Amino acid sequence: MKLKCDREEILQALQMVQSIVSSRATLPILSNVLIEAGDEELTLTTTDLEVGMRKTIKAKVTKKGAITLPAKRLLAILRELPVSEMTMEATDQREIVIKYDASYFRVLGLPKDDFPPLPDFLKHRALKTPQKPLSELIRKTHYAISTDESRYVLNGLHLIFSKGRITGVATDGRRLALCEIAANVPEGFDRGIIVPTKAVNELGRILSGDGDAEIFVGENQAAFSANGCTLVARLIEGHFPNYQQVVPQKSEHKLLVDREELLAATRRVALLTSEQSNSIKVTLKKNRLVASSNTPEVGEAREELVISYAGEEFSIAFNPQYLVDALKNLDDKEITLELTDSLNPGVVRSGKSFLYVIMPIRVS
Amino acid sequence: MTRLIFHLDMDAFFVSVERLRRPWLKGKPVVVGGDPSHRGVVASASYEARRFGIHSAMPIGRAKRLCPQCIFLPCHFDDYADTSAQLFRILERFTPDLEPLSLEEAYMDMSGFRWIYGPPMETAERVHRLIENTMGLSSSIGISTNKLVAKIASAIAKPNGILHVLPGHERDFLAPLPVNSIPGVGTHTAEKLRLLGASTVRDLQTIGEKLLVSAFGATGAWLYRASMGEDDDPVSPPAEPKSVGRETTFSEDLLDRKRVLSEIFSLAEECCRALRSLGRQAKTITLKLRYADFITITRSRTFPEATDLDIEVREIVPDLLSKAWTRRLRIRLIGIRFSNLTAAEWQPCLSFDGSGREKFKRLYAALDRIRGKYGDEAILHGSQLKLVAGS
Repeated sequence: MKLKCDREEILQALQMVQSIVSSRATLPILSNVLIEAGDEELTLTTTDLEVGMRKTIKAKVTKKGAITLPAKRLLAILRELPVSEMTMEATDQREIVIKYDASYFRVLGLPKDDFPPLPDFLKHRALKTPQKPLSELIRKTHYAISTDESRYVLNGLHLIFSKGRITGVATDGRRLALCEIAANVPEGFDRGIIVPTKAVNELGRILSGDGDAEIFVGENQAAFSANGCTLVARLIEGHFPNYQQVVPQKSEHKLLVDREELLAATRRVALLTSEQSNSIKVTLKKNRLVASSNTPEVGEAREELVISYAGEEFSIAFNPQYLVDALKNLDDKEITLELTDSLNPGVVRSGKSFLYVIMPIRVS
Repeated sequence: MTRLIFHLDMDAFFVSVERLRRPWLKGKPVVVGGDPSHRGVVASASYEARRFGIHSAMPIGRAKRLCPQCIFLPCHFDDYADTSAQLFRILERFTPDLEPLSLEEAYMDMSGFRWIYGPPMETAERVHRLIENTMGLSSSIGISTNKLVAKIASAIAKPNGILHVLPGHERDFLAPLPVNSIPGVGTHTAEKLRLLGASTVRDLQTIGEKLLVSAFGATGAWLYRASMGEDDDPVSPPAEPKSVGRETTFSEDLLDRKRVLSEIFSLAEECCRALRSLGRQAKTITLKLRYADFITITRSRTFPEATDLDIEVREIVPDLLSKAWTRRLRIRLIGIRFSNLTAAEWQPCLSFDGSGREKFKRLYAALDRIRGKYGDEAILHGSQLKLVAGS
């Protein structure tokens, strides 16, 4: 293997794929990045066996070949190089020399044969969809994914492909975020998958332009491709809970609220909560929404928003973080807040495509 | 500031409550507790029965031998609890600083109330009279500057008396009493003290702190202070419960799994009901099992979500029993404890299984109301029917 490439370009590619590499890799080879030189291109691949990522860049290849190198170390070297162009040459299966000017680095790696191959998805049919809405879907739902490993089906984003749309659902069992985007879903593509958290976060990173993304779904893996970068993820097996069940069929009170006002008020009031008493109270009064917190030995805070409300006065308590998570990831100026009473879930809606259900905190 | 502490103790409480319902028991030796033909201990003995040497915690069998003509009654805890609740409602009217020690006994911090209630003795008389007039029960009250002396005073005032140890006289009051009148000094410590030549509290006062510390360590220092009538332990209202549990010793050791399971179910049901009335849910359940050879095993399990629903507990219990009951040996005792309780403020989960959980919540709320009105056995789970019919 011998090639010449742009330092900046390979650095960016490596930065993209190296986040898959775990600092506590189970196998030594998983700390490495696979570098493959083909026709006029260089492909970098990383995997942790659950999620894999591949990025291809241009390079002047004079001799094809492949090798794996310690990803973090290579990244550190590339960051420090004082030049814009360099050559890489494999001297044997497990060693590479990086040269520029009169300097060189000889880096030891492992042969490519030991590297677990990423499944090939090209034979699968692709779903082509614009990156931007997909990226928004992820932004508006990812925070609700559960981190509790005892219910593993919730440790991912549920993506449902159906005629004309993709629906994303994430929940940690206490709140649920749902976002729908229009998409040209080919016939026979209908299905639901659960993409694990790590892959969701990586997917959010690779989607960054106006172009299309491609989605491939296999038996128990899926691939997402955009901007020369491909993400392959092992899917979470099992049934995602019936999310439609938790969406209240109707709510007593529907309020139009300025999103940023509510977000800012929630953030401020939340400053006077504590770990033991981590809730804020939302009280509806005549044409007023009052957000307040009152924590023993900490203090109290109260904020008022003007809204249009004519019903009975009542209060409901929420974990402020749950409100903040949703509100800060939305774009609309106004959201609809739907409440029934202090025990039933509250709903935040933004446009027709976004829905968020929060279970209130019980105060006895 | 000198404190003013009352220790109020009901006289032969369980027996007195039984007598309210059955006036013909008055003046007769009565013992409440267990079942005389089987096992169990004396929970409460009337003063007539105490004359025969019967006292609390004595095995029923022995009590029966001491006084064959004694009337033995089983415990009716629900009645005692109801009466106790009534008692505490009266006491709460006098002070918010109330520390219950049991159903029938409490410390009351009355410091600073002199200007409202007048002299301590008169206040105590008012409390005493109010209990007697509204509940028909007699009590005894000890008054002092601290909990220790107040408790000793009420024991001496018994039955139906009030004793005020005036400030500054604590030491002289205690001096002639035997060492074991200090709460916390049991037979073991009393015996050790006897070897040191101390039989009365005065002896402790004379021995002095140094010697007591060298003989008992930290306990010695406490003993000396107690003998001097010193105690600064505050009257502390009860803390939030950390767990809810019930246990039972079978009247005969059991080998029948079905029977054991339904016994566990009824304990679990009681616990769930207690949790619901507290407005708490539990995350952890612990099963305790004691074999006939007294070896005790516990096994715990954590619920996916905190619960107070019998139905969710029932699902877990059989497996828990299998994990705990590994020896082919009869079982003497079982217990269920719910811990890891939710705080007053807690985050419930969204209900993905339809309204299943909500339905059960409403169901159990209704069952609780029925039982509250018509008694615990008014409505039962099918598997519990045999237990009730059999007992």
